[in-house]
Amino acid sequence: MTQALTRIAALTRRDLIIELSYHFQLMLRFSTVLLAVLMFFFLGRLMGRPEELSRYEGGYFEFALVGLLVMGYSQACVTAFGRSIQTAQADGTFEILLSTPTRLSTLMIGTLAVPMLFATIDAVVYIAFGWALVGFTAPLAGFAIAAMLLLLTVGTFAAIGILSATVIILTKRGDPFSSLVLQLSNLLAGAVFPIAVLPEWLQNFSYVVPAFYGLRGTRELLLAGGGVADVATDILVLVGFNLVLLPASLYALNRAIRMARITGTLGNR
Amino acid sequence: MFMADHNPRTSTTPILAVYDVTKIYEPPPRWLRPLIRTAASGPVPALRGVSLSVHSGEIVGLVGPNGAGKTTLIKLITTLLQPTAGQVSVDGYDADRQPYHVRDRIGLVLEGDQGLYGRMTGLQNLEFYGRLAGMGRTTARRRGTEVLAMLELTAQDKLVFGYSAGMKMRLSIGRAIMPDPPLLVLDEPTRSLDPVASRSTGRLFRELAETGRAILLSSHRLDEVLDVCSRLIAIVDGVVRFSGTARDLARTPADAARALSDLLETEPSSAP
Repeated sequence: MTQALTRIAALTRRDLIIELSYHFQLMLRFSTVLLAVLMFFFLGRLMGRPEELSRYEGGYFEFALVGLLVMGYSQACVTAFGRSIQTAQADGTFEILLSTPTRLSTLMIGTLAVPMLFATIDAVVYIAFGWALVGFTAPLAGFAIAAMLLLLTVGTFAAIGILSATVIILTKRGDPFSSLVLQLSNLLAGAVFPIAVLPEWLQNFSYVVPAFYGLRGTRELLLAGGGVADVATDILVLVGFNLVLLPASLYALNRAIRMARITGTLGNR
Repeated sequence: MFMADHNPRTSTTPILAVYDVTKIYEPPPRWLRPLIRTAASGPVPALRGVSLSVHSGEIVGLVGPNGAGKTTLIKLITTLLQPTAGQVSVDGYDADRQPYHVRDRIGLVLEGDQGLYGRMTGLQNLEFYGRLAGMGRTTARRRGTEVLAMLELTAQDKLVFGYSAGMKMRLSIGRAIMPDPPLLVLDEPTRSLDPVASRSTGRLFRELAETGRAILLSSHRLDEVLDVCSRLIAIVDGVVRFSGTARDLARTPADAARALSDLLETEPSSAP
């Protein structure tokens, strides 16, 4: 366990050193976050307080802020593994990493730390701007349960990210799941608009998108003053998704690596 | 002078033992073929019945023409490939069944400077791999500093993308020896080096072997392997064509180089 933590810390430090060395990219990244916040702020002024959001405190801006926050973590999670494997394949570190005594699961968790850290910085920016622009506040107890919901949501996206990495190991290029899943989640889970505006038949698809439960529960906690009992269903559904998706994705990844060891395509680019 | 004359330290138990290993690159299952590109559509035999051993304190040279199977053998030893038949064991651990134990005991240098992060300093690279090997932060830093000094890489705070090819090579070796493994597996480590840097790297290999490490060195450069290695294994078309010392080939290094070169060029059917 201690060795696994040491390795995760090493992978985190590596990613942090490398990410921080690209100053311009870092600047662009945080500029994008600021621009997104401002865009949704002005959109919120235009939309005011739509009837579909009447059960939440605040207006559209607060609703969208929570969506941006949850989807920010989800995006970081779903793209981290595939990107990391592609980079390692391109710069020739992939086989060397796999020849170290580091377990695959440790490599995966270690790879996730910096994207999660950046998503947290984004989240702080969202909350700070929300507070500065519209006085957005949320109960502390709500934040604690929301953090658990977020973790569960991130777990399902991590599973999808691992499946994506599996395909990259086999096919070398192409990140088939991340963009599709993110776009579908944005559309169907109600990331920046309530699903009530979707046609009824399309709304039914929302229930098979894990992000829907994460978003619904988080908003209930942060914007509607709900408690654990109000989000129990969301928590249970997300636990179910995690129990199925995480082992399945790790199994698929192990199988892909095994196959690549047989076909000799592990180090191919 | 042959290496065998000045590096006699060997033990009887091999650190690396390869028993009758065969590797056939199998194509992926039919349903996956539209997605996975492989070099050939059918099975590709790469190694047939290869056996070898490397003892502590020994440098064994692996030579052979392009496509002979050297890199395949190295990847089998380092658990990056799965053998079709046969067994690889490192320090008594089976590579297929106990891969993490095996990886704990191997330092791998793959095709030059693979594995280095250009946007990190030499010391940061070494610390990273030290910690992946399970070292604490302080230990990894101390060991990294020691290794850099040993490799005469004094610019420890310079980013690796500013290193010369020779420096990167030395750092790759440093990366491999960071956890002080009993076995070093080096795949063409001197390929991009000039003759002076290559000779200096050869001296380093000898020093590492003198401290008890077993080294398997794959190289195209016959002069290098004859100079550095205590034993040679020549592979052609996935089959071991020669295994022995340079003295088994000829009396002088120059004659041995010629004999080895002839051996590698001979058609398999006419081999001795």
